[in-house]
Amino acid sequence: MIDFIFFISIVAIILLVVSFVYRIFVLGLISSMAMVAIGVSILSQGVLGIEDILTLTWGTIFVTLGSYIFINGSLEQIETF
Amino acid sequence: MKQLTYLIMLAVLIASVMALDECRGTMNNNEIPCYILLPIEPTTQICSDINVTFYKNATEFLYNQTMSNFSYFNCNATFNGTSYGTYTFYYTTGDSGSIIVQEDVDNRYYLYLVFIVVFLSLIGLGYYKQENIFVILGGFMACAIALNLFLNGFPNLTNDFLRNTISIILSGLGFYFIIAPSIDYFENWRSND
Repeated sequence: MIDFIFFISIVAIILLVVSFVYRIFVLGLISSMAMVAIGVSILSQGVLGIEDILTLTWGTIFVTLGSYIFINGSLEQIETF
Repeated sequence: MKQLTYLIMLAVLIASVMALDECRGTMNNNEIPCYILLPIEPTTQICSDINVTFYKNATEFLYNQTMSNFSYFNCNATFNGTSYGTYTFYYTTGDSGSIIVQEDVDNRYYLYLVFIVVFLSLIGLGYYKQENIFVILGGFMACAIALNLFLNGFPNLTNDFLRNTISIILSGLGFYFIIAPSIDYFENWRSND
C-alpha cells in the first residue's frame, strides 16, 4: 500500500497543476504551503528510512518550488490590489 | 434504509484483528514488529524463565525481554528493530539467531514514481506558463534520477548496460532542460540591455 508521504506529495503537485490551469489562486497557495511542509519533513527525516540523493533532491525542490510560488503568487496578488 | 444503517454500524464497530508474523532471516522494515519463536521441551522448560537479549550489529545493546507462551511447544518474544542492519539475539538457553532488516523495495518504486510525476508536471507547467524556473527544476530532477540510478542502481535491475544507458539519457535530458531555458534567459537579458 502506498505510504502517506508519497500520496500527499502527488496530491500537492496535482493541486498545483490544477491551480495553474484553472487560475485558482487559493489552491495554488495551499498546495505551495503543503509542498514546503512536505519538503521540510523530507529533508529532516528522510522518506521511510531512505535518505539518499533522491530524497535530498525531492525535499530541496519541494521547498524551493513551494516558496517561489507562494512568494511570487502573493506578490502578484498584492500588486493587483 | 434501516438495513443499510445496521450494515454501516457493523462495518464501523467490527473488531479488527491484527496478528504479528513470525520473523524470518531477512525482513522488510514494514513487516516489523514480528515474533521470534523458540522451540522448547515443555516438560523441563518454562517460557517465563527464558530471556532474550537483542543487539544491533552484534555490538549495540537494544533491549532484554522475557519470553512468553506461544504454544505448548514454543515460546515467543517480540522483535521491533526497524532501522536497517543486522540484528542478533541471544537466548539464556544458549541459542542465538539473527535477523537482517532491509529496505522495502516497493518504497523505492514509489519514490521513482513520485519523481517522474513531479518531473513531468514541472516540465509541463514550465512550458505552459513559460516559467523557466519550473523547467530548470525539472531538469535538476532528471539529473538527480540519473545520478541515483548510476550510483545505487534500480531494484532488481542487474543489467549494467541498460542502467548506464538510462542514466546517460536521463542526464542528457536533465542538462538540456537546465541549459536551454538558461540560455534563453540570458539571451533575453542581453537583448533587454
